[in-house]
Amino acid sequence: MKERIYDALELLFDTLTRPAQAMMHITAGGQFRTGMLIWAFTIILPCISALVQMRHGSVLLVAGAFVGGAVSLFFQTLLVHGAALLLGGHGQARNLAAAFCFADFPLNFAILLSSLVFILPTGLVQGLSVAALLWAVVLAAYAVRANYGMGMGRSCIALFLPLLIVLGLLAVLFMYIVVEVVSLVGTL
Amino acid sequence: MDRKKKIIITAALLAVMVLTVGIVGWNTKTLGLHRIAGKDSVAVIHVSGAIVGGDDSPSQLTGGGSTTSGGLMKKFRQARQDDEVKAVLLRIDSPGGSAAATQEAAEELLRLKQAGKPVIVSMGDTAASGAYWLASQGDVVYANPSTITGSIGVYIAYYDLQGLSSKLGVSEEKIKSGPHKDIFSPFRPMTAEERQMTQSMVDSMYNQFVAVVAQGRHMDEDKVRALADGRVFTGEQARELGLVDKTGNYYDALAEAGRLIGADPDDVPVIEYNDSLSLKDLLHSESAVSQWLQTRLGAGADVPLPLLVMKGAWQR
Repeated sequence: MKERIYDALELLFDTLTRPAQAMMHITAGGQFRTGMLIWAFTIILPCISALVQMRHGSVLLVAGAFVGGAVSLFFQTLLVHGAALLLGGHGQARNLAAAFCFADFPLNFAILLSSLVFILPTGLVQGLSVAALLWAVVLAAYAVRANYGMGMGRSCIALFLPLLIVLGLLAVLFMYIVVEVVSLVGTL
Repeated sequence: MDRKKKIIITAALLAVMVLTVGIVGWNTKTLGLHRIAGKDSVAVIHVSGAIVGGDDSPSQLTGGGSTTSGGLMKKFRQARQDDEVKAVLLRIDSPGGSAAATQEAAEELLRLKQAGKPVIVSMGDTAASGAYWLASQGDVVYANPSTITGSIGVYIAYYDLQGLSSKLGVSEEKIKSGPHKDIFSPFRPMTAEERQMTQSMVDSMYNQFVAVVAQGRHMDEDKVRALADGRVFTGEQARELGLVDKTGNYYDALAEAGRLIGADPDDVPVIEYNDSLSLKDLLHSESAVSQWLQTRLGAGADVPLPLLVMKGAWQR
């Protein structure tokens, strides 16, 4: 376990400083459990922030964050894996999940900044939080590229395709409901 | 870089993150999280230093030692509109200030009370004059036994520099649109008529002050007037005279506010409306950061912060 923690810390350092090489290393295999350690930290930090501020937090909050985070990671991996395969990539979903665990780490900087909102300018906090989100997206694109051996363009498409499909489906559903309501009003 | 250094740096980064989020989070309360928690809370609003007119710009950060009427009104308004706030604790440590600034803040405080939110006042070291004007509007007023309070009254001061200016050989020449336009000029004596006009202004403000205290404290106006000769009282004396309700400290007042909203008096959920500093405020040349840099670097008062930082780097 101790070695795994050391590996996680070293890989995290590399993810933040040399993302391309780090993602190649992570997606080469065998880093899923290491990734889960970093993922757990990414879930725990906002929980700490919420618990200390609300003072009356419960274990349920932490459990809920873990369950929600796990479901989110599962579907993110599943959908991006499917999209990458559709685009001609070859790779394992388990390795992609490990890489996503590391790729989400910059979001912790946004949590850190939000804690400092009373001593830092609001605009600066918001700007840097957006930058942290973009950083996480770029790392995720590196993860897809490394895991499926695709170019950066196709990796980005694979990353956003599930989102676009979901948005498209929602738009179709919305239009369907609107048409149904309008026709219903017309018959009345 | 070797493995050991990477591990140490990353572990240190994670530790700093956890400690910062934990410690800062413990000492601040983000409104968003309180809303998620959905608990009834007491809004604590501070009045510190002189009460002055002005907007609610937080550009001075902690500097200045004063409370602006704009800032106070904004916080009273926020508390009134905040569904989670069920009571307000007004913590006062102020020698008073401008009558008009106090009056407009008190108006907003009354609207807050009219919205059904009780206001508990806690006096700290001092709550005199204009600060007492505000305090008298509380539903329950707490003071420490040795708090300095009272000083119900009004004055208008001006300087008479005629003796000094004659010694220096300086005189003032002016062309004015009316005889009283320079009523408070330090270079001429005030006429009897002007003194009468000024006295009537002071009397008008004084009568407003007495009426507000009488209404806020549910006291007879004559009784207030008897106490309102400008003298100060200790908290204990003020309690005996009916100017405050109870003696006790901040936590006694907070516990009372907590009881009003049905909270545990030892663990009352509190909301404070902190002034967040925008980037524009920080870059403004009047911000405390800018002023500190201006002093350090000997720069002009109108130099914006980015240029000051560049000047500092250049001087190094």
